[in-house]
Amino acid sequence: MTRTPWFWAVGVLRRAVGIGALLALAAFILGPLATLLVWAFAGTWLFPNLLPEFSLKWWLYVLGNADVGKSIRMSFLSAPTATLLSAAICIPAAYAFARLEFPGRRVLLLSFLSANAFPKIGLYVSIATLFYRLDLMDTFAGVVLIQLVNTLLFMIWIPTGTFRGINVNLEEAARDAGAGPLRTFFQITLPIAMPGLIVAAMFAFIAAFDEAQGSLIVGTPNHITMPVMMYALVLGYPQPVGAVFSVLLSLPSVVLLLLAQRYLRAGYLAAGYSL
Amino acid sequence: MARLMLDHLTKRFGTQAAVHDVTLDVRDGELMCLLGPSGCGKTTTLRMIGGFTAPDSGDIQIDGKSIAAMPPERRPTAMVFQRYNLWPHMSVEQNVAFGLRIRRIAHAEIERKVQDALTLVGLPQASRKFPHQLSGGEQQRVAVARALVLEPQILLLDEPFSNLDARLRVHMREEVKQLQRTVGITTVFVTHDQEEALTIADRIAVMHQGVLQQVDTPTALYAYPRTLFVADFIGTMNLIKARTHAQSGGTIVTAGPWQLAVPDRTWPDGSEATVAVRPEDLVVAPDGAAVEVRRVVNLGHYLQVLLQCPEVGELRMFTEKGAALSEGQRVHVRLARALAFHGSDLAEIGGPMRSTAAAPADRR
Amino acid sequence: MRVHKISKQGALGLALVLPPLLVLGLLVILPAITAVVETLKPPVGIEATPFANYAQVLGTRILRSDIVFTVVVTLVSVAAVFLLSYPLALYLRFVRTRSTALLGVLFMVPLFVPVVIASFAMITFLVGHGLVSTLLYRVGIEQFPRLMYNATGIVLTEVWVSIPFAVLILGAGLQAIDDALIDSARDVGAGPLRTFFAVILPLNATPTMITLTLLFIAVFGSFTIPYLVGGNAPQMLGVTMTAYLTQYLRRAESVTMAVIAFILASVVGVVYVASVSRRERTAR
Repeated sequence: MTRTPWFWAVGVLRRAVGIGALLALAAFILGPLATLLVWAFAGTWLFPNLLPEFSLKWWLYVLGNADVGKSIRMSFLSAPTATLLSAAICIPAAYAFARLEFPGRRVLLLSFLSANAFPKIGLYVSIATLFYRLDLMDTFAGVVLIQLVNTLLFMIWIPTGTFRGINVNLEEAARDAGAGPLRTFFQITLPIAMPGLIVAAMFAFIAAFDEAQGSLIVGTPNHITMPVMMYALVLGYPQPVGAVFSVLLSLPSVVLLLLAQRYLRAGYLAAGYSL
Repeated sequence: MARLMLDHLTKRFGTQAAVHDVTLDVRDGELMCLLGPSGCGKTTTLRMIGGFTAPDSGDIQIDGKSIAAMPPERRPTAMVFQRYNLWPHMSVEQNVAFGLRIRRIAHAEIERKVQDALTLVGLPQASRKFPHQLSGGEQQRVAVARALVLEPQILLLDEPFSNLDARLRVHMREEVKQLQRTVGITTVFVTHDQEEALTIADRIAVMHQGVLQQVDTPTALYAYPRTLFVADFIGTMNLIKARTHAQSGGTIVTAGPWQLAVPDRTWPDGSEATVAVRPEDLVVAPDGAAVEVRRVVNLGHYLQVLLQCPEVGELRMFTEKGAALSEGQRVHVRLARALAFHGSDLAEIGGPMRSTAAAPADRR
Repeated sequence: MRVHKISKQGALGLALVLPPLLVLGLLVILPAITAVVETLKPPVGIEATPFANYAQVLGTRILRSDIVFTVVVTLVSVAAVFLLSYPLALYLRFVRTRSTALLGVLFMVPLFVPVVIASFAMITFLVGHGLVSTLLYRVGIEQFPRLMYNATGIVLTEVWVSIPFAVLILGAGLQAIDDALIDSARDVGAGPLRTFFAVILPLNATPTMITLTLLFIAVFGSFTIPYLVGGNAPQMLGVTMTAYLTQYLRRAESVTMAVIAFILASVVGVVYVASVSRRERTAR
């Protein structure tokens, strides 16, 4: 074809533009995080220097702050609690949504989506009133409950999809071999579903851990979580302080990201799932 | 050793009857095939036997004892599904031993039984492997081993080889037949492939739209189909629209250019009928009706001849390989044997089935 | 006895679903209903009509402009996310090189970054003397429009946090489209753009709808990002509502705005539910 040389040239140009666009996007994604990381190790950073004077003094400042320590402890106690509680009540429900027929199933499943539709602030006003009456304001339980609400979407929808993806034949084969419904669930269904459930737990944990708006209202002043602490640090302190705290606040997410990689590669993931 | 009885089983999905009033008797040690096209209710029936679907009415009995109220884990049945039999997170050994472990059998005996079962299906070295390391055929074999290791009274197979390639399918069905003969276990085998059924079954139950059409041996099913559906479904069959003419002492059925005498039936005059003729029962004879040869296909040990018949259309004929037939030639053909279907009545015309190498039942 | 069996399954299903449903009911549905009911009771001293609160809120110029501002920012953000995520999802789906796997991981990163941190990172990146302005200064550009503490900052940050979610859902939908369908379109002569609009987009309709809806709802009601990254006026509704509640202690207006925001978001949600229900029904 005589068109080939011209087409090839355009192809190269197109590829160059494509790669350029991707690099720009990559820079957009990584840029802010890189900046933050550099700030965390900055003593002072004057414009228009490309790099700051490096120092660890802000780390000492942040780690030495009693309030910071309290918020770290609060977050690492409340978020796992909320996640585990969420798993305990949501995973059986997810199994019901996936396998059982009951009236209103579709509506109820969609209703968990609605939790995110109503603006949180409108909810928290009423929740605050409720918590005052139940004596839950400024308590550990109150914060956990707020975080719990944020996890419901992930802990219902992802496990439901996971259970649905497990071919019914696998469970029927277990019943056929003599296993009752409970044994089938724990020895067959749950192990096969585990990767999906772990992914759900990760997202749920991150949602609980990052919850800020509700905890701001319910947890003040004695049960401050890290995100709530973060608001104060961002608004009232020098940039390195916020940056250092950001690194601390990101650590669980980074760890989970690395763990997620391993689970999403497990060999038997493909075998038990049907499309 | 057990006898399975299905007693007026019915299952409805919505307003449709998926299985309608099925009564079936499976003898001890028999391999019964449930055969029919997709959607005919055969898998639903099998699942009711296994306990995975609850019938709307009717009963299921093994050796006279009703099992309809039992959940699957208590039934003395073992099922091999079409796919997704083996649990992917367990090894072959763990898969096969699962049911034995539930029954709290001694450790050493479990090991022995598992090894015996795997040897029986030809996979003695597989116990440490995981399902994803096995081929499709091997996985199905392990599934069979797992079913048999529990020494069930009834073995249920739901199109277990549909997902395998053609050659493997043929090989596996022979293996299963051998196995079933050796162990002597009463088996129900669901398939949509009539060749498969005709090859391995002791008896076949043909189903269509939820209704049992006919239960017979493969030979009888081929030679004496009792409904039009079975006639058409099993093997190749020519179906000719016909009309009846009442006569003193019988009926004449006019099918295209042929007139067939049915002396032992008095069917009303001028009503519709269908005449079913096997390709091997169309014979070239001087006293036959005139037809034109459309095409001759040489299939090695016999010839397949496509005939164009006025008033009827195209007919298929099987004849010996030496026959001197060519395209465009006019020949005279008669019906050596045929079946006339009139409503729910059926009459045989002509002698016993003409046997040629083409009849699949004779390959047994 | 068969009918009894079916309702036994139904009863079990409802029982298992009850605990999270209770949590949802007590901590979301009930407060939401309470809030709506509360807004329909007019404040003392004003004409006794149920919609007095709404009239007052919608009658206040500042609040009206906040509502409009929120809608505009949301629409722009959703459009931007879409325009960036779809090509990305398509690229990841159709180009299989070693680098695409790495790229896939890269674009998932914002998913694991808490929104607070994301906002702060964007501030350091885009603010007056932040990294971007430093780099531009080094290249010789000293004047450029402000990127932070205004609508632009909000849009950029919302886009940053939303890309992984959009790419994930759109990508999952694209995975389900058989290569054969694309190939046959190209085979009859359709170029890439036409293939996209005629084949890919319709087949990926449900994930597209889901993404659009969830993105809209999320951005519309967001608080943290506009709180940290936005300007002083106009503000996104999430910030306004919180300010009215916690700073000005004007609870009635705050809750009324919440209901208005909810209604606007619900309209979008209803469209989503309708299209998903229709698809689920035809799929069965």
